[in-house]
Amino acid sequence: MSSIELVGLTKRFGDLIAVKDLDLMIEDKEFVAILGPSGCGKTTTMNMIAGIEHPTAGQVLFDGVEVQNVSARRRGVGFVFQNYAIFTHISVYKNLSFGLEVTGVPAGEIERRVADMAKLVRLTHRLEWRSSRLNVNELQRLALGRSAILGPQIFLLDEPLSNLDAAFRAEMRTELKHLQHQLQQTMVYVTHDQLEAMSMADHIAIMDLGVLQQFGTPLEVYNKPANLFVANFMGSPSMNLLPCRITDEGGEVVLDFGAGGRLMVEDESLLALCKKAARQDLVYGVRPENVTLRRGEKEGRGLSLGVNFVERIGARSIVHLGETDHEIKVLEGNQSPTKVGETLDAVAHAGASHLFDAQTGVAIR
Amino acid sequence: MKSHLTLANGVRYAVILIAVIAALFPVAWMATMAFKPVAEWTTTVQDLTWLPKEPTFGNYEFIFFGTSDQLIVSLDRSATGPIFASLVTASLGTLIAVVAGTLGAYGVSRFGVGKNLPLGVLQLRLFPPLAVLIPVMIMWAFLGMIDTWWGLSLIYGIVTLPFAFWLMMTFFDEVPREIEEAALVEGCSPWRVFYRVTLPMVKAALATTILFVFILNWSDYVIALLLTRKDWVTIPVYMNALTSAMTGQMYGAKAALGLIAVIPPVILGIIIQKHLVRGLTFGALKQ
Amino acid sequence: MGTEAAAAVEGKAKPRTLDQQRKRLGLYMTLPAQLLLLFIVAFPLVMQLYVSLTLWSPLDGEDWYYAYKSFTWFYNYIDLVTNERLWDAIGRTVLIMAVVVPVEFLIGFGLATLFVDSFPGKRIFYSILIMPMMIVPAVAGYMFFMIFQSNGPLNQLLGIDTVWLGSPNLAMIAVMVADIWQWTPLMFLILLAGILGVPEDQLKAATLLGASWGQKFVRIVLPRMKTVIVIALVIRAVESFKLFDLMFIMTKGGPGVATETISVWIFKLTFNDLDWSYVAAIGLSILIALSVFAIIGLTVMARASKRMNADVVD
Repeated sequence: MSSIELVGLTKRFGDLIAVKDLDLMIEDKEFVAILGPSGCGKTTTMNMIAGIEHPTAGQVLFDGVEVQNVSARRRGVGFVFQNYAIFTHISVYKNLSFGLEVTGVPAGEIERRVADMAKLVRLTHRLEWRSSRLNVNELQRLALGRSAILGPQIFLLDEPLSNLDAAFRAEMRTELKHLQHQLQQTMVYVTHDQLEAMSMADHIAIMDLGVLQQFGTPLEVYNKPANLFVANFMGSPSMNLLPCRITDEGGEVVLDFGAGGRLMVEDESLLALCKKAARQDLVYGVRPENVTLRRGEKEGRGLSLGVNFVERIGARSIVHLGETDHEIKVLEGNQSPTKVGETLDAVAHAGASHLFDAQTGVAIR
Repeated sequence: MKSHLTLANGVRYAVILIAVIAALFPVAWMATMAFKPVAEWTTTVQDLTWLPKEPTFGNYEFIFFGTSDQLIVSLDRSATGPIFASLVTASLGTLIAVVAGTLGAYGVSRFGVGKNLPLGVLQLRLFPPLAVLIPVMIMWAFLGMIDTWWGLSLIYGIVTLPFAFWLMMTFFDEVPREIEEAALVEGCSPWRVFYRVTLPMVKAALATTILFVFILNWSDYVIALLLTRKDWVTIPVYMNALTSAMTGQMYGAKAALGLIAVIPPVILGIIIQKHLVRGLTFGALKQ
Repeated sequence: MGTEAAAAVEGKAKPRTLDQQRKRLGLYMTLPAQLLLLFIVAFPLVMQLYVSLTLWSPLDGEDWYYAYKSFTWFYNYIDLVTNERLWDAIGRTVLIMAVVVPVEFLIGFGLATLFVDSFPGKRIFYSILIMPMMIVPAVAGYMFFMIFQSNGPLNQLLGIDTVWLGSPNLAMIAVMVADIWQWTPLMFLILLAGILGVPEDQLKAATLLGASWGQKFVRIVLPRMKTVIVIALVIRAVESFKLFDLMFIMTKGGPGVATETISVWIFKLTFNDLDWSYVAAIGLSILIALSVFAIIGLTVMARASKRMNADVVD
C-alpha cells in the first residue's frame, strides 16, 4: 500500500519558482507520468517526492503520512536517474548489492536476492563485470534492478528512456509496464515524451512553468484538454488552434476568423460551447485527424483555404493549409490526392471542436 | 532538521574561520611589520603590537633609497635592482619555457614526434635542483653565464619547461582536430594551421600557462642563490642580505620588500584560480 | 596523393607529401624543447660523473677538466655510504616528508569536504585559503622566521617564551609548521577538485539506496578519488623531499646540524666546504636513487591501472 499525495507543494530557487502550489493524488499501484517541456518543474517535483530536494512549502504524504521531513535515505523510494547513476567503479554484482549492504542485510540473504534480481533484469551473465563495461540497455536494466532489489513501494523514474535509441525505447516501454505489474508498485515517471506517457501511464499530470495544467487519464487529456497549453502539447501533429471572434448574425452564431474566413456554427456541441463563452475573443481548436477537406462546400460551412504543401509521412499525409494565424494541418490517408495550390474547404467533424478563452487559455466546457 | 542544518553550518564556518586565520596570520604580521619603525621591529613580548604604533613608510624609503632617518646604517644597493632583475629573468624564463613548451607540446600532440619529451621533461621536475648543482654551476661559469640575466633566464626556462609543456599539451589535446583537418584540406600548410587556426583557439590557455609559469619563476630562490652574485641578484636573495652587523635582522626592511614580492603571484594566482589544479598536477587533473 | 599530383602540375619543387611535411614540422617544433632537455641532462650528467670520481675542488686553482689529476675511482661514493651526516640528513628529510605530507593531506581533505556544496562567502574563503601556496617560498621563510622568534607574535599569542629556532626539535617543528602552512592549500585544491569530480547523481543514488554520509564517503567518494589522492600525495612527497627554501632561511640547518636536510647539507658542502667532487657524487647518487624509485612507482601504477581497466573486477 503506497499512495502519494502532494499538497500545495512549492519549491523556490532564489527568485525562480520551480514548482508552484502543486496538488496531486497518486493512488496505490498506479502508474503516473509527469509530462511537460524541459524546465516545467517535473524533475523538481520528483526530487521532492524522493527527498533529494526539500520543499519550500507544502507537504508530501505517503499513505496519508507526512514525509517531507524524512530524509531521502530513510524514505525508501526507488529512483532511476536519467543517466542511471550507476557506480561504474564497482562490479554489476556490487551495484545490485549496494542498497542491501548499506542497510545491513545479512550476507546470505544478499546473495540470494542479488541472484533473483539479476535473473529478473537479465544480468546474471554480467554479474562479475565492471559495470562501466555494460551497454546502455544493460545499464538501464541494472539501474532498475538496483533500486527494485530493496522492494520499494514507490518507484520514481526520471526520463529513463531518453538515452536509448528509438527501437529499444519501444521495447523498454513494454518491459517497464510489465515490470510494474510484476513488482506491484506505485510508479511515477517523468518524461517530456508524450508518446511514452500516453502508452504507459494510467494517469498523466501535465506541467508547465511549475504549474499543474491537467491531471487525467491519457484519453482525457488528449480528448478534453483543459487549456491551450495541454491542447497544444498533446498530440502530433498538434491541435489546430485558430484565434476567432464570436458574432451573432440574425440569430445565427458565426465564428469570424478574419482573413481566414467565417464559419456558421451548425454543429450542436460547438453551438453549446459557443453559448457558454463569456467573452467574444476565443481560440478555436480542432485536431488534424478530425478535419475533412472537401471541394465546393456551401459558403460558411467550412474554411476555404489554399494548400501550401503536403507532407507525406508514410501511413498518413499531413496537408498544410492557410497562412500565419489561421494556418491549419489536416491528416489524410497516404494516398491523399490533395495537390499544392488547390483551394479546399476544411470541415471539422461533428463534436470534435474545442473552444478556449483567448485571454485565460482555459477550455470552455 | 532545520536546527541540525544550522548546527552543521556553524561548525563549518567555525572550522573555516580557524583555517582562514591560520592562513592570514603570517601574512598579516609581515604586512604590518612593513610599516613599523625600527623601534618596533624587535621588542620584548610585552611591547609587541600587531598594528604599528607609529606607522611609517621609512622601510620603503630605506630599501629604495638606501638610507633612512631612523637607521644609522645605509645600504650600498637599493631594492630597485633586484626587483628589476626578478622581473626581467622571470619574464624571459617564462618566454623560453612557454615558447619551447608550446611548440614541443604541439609537435608531440599532433605529429607524434619526440615521444621522449613528456617523461623527459617530467624528470626535470623530480630531481632536487641541488642534486645537479655542481655541473650546472661549472657549466654556467664556463659559458660566462653566472650572474647574468641571460644565464638566469635560461635556467628558469629549463626548470619551468615541464609545466609549460604539460599544460599546453593537455590544452592542445582538448582542441577538436576536425577544425585543423578542415584547414589542412583547404590547403593550409601545417605550420599555418598551427599558427593561424590552433594558436588563436588556445589563446586563453596560453595566457594561463604564461601566468602560471611566471609565478613559478618569480617564486624561485635556490637557483638565483646559486647562479647570481651581485648584479642580477633577485628579490629573495637580496632579502637575505638585509641584515647588518649592527642591527641584526632588518625585519621591517625585509617585510617591506617581502610584501612587494608576494603581491604579483597572489594577484596572478587569483586570476588563474580556475586552472591552478591543472597546472600543479601537470595537466593530470582538471577542475 | 592529392598533394603530389598538385605539386606535379605546378611543376614546382615540392617533393614532400603532407605526411612528410608534418613530420618535419613536428621535428622542428620539438627541437627547442629537445635541445633544452639535452643541454641540462646530457653534458651535466657526464661531467657530474667525471668530477665525482676525483677529489677536485675549485680551491685547487685548476679548471674542472684537469680534475683527472686527482682521480680516485669510487672513493667519494664509498665515503658517502659511511658518512653519518648523509644518513642523518636523509633521515630528517624523510621524517619531514612523513610528517608534513600526511598532515597536509588530512587537513586539506577535511577542508575540501567543507567546500563541496555552496554557502555564503565560499568564493572569498576559497581564495584566502589557497593564498599561502602562492606566497614566494623564500618570503614565507622570512615570515615564519619572524613569527617563531622568541620575542615574536606566536610566543606572545601563546603566552610562552620558547626558543623555537634555537632548539633542535622545536626548529624541526617550526619548519614543518611553515611547510604545512604553505602546502596544505595545494592538497586542499587538488582534493577538492577530486571530490567535485565525483558524479553528484551517484551520491544521490547512494543516498536513496539508504547509504549514510560515511558509507557514501567510503564506498563512493574514496574509491573514485583514488587517482587524485595518489597524484596529490606523489606531488607533495616529491616536493617535500626537495625542501630547501624554508629550511635554509629559517634555520640554515641549525642549530648545529639539527635541521640539516639533504638539500641544505649539499648547499653547505658546496659553498662553505667547497668540496665539489663530493657534492657531485651525492648529487649523482640522489639522481640514481630517485630514478629507481620513480621506475618502481611507475611500474606499480601502470600495473594498477591495467588491473583497473581489466574486464573482471576482483
